[in-house]
Amino acid sequence: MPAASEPIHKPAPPATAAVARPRRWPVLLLLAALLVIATLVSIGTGAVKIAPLQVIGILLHKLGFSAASLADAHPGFAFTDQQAAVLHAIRLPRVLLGVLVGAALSVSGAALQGLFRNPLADPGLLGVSSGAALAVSASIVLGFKTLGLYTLPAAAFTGSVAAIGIIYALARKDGRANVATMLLAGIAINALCGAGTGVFTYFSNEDQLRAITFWLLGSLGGATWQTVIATAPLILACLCVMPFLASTLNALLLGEANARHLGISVETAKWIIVAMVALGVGASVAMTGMIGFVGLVVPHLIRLWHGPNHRLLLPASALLGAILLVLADLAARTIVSPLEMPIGIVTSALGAPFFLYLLLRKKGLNAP
Amino acid sequence: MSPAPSQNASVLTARGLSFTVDAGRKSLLSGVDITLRPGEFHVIIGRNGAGKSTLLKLLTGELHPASGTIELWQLPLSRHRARHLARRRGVLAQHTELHFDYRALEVVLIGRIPHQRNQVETGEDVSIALDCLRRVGLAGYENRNYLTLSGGEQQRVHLARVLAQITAPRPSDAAEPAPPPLLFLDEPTSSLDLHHQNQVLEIARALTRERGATVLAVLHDLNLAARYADTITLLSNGHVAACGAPYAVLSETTLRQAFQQEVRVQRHPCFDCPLIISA
Repeated sequence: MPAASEPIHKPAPPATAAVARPRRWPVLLLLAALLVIATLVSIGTGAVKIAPLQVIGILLHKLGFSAASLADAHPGFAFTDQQAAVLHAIRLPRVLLGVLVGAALSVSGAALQGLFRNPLADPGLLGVSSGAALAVSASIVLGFKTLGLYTLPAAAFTGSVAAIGIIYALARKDGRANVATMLLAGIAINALCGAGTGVFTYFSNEDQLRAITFWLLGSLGGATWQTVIATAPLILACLCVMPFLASTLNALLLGEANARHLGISVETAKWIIVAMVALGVGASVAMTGMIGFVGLVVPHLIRLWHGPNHRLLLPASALLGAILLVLADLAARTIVSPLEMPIGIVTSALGAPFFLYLLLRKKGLNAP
Repeated sequence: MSPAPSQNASVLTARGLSFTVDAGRKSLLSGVDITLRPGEFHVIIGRNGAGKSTLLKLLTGELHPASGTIELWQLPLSRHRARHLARRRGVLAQHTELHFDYRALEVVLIGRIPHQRNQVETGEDVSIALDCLRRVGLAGYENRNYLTLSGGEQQRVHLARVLAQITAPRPSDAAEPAPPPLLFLDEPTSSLDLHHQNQVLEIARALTRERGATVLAVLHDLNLAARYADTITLLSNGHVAACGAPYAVLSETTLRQAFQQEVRVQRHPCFDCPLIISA
């Protein structure tokens, strides 16, 4: 052990090489490769089978390569018109929506867990899901149809942004948003929205009840190019902004006072994080309904694998979330084929036991 | 930024600081003056509830005074830009809660954030962080899981983080030397054993002697205060009861009044400082 009175100015040891720093790019590249594979498999699976090479062939064809030249280049690229139509109209928008939603839910979960300094936080805590559920059940039961196909997504988005806004406003005092109050206000607002949803469910007729239930269970089945194009800008905003908050979130894990002493504008950071979660998760919930546990479980898996450093955690969560949601959707539409299971059932059925495992493991660690 | 301070100019001057809670009904501090000089090791002592931590929070800007002024490097505290300030001023909290399993080196590297552009971590950041770990006696701990460290080791990791924060990058030949840093320590020794209590305060003193840093520490152990402080401020019921060199402040009458405790003050057998024994 070095004596304390050692001079401060010593040449820094050339020890950089000896330290195993987390290798970011290999992890991200591996996850990106897995995402491409999951996407190809999911696009190809269903009533009409499309082999991975055929998927690539169809995509290249869309980019302007003639079908004949593709078939010449490799016989595997050859595809039928039916396959091309299914891929373009059904599979591709659905898988793209899955990628976007999975990434948004997971990145938001990771950011909120950092903001709340609580590894068990979930986007649902900020009322995003319950606010959306209330707005959707209200518009189904009251028969709003003003925006046509977009009525329910618009209602869901409005509901989640309103809920998150109310919770944020309730937690603000003297220009500072109290994170603990935000959690408690979230619980209260969630309960209120649940009560409201219950009221509308109670007064609904059979068709409306079915619509509400189906929406609550979540599904990527409604994916069309329109929904993807409507959702993409909001989710991409969330996905692009969050990685810039990596250092800020690392500092926030030390507590707000320490983060301020590190020169972080804590209140601005909180506002941006909450706003980005509202955009990303609000848009996701609007298009797919409630998909539970992805935002909770995915950041955990990355932390178990590579630690809590947000410089890796945020992008890696986005990629893994996209992978898992694409695979969950694949399971949802193949397990009971030709029927389709709501994806929320799949993610919750897999996510809940994992959550319990984490809780019990944590309990074991903290045992006196 | 602020002009380079001349040798005599104070680093930090606070005048007439007051702070109240419960809508002004309870006063925690009133009319407190404190001046920190360049290269000074300044220690605040006082009973529990005397207002030590509150004063530290006011001086770091974490709390805002009900009245009074704080000037840091000849500029009102509020006019400093947070990020610039963070490169020169470190604050070590009494206790830092961190429940995520970072490696020790990653925690220290968080201290380099104010120096980083676009979140890019350079090799120099890593070597500064490793050097700071070594200085707090944690060489070889860089890959240890923070959550598996003892309380005292965790506290020293945070000291290393704060040291890394106020370490300027190695200047190029043309650049003038980095301006001396300022370090706030809130009861830095409370979770440490005897050896590391001295080690931490030695590190702080070395900063003042070698880099001209100014250190303000809140300490409970009067003998540590006596041994390391250049100047001691004694707080009592939210007022400054005494301020000056250790021999002047640590007298039997002053301590008896401030702590309501019988004490004897003798000359320390090993160092040139007072030795306080409770009687």
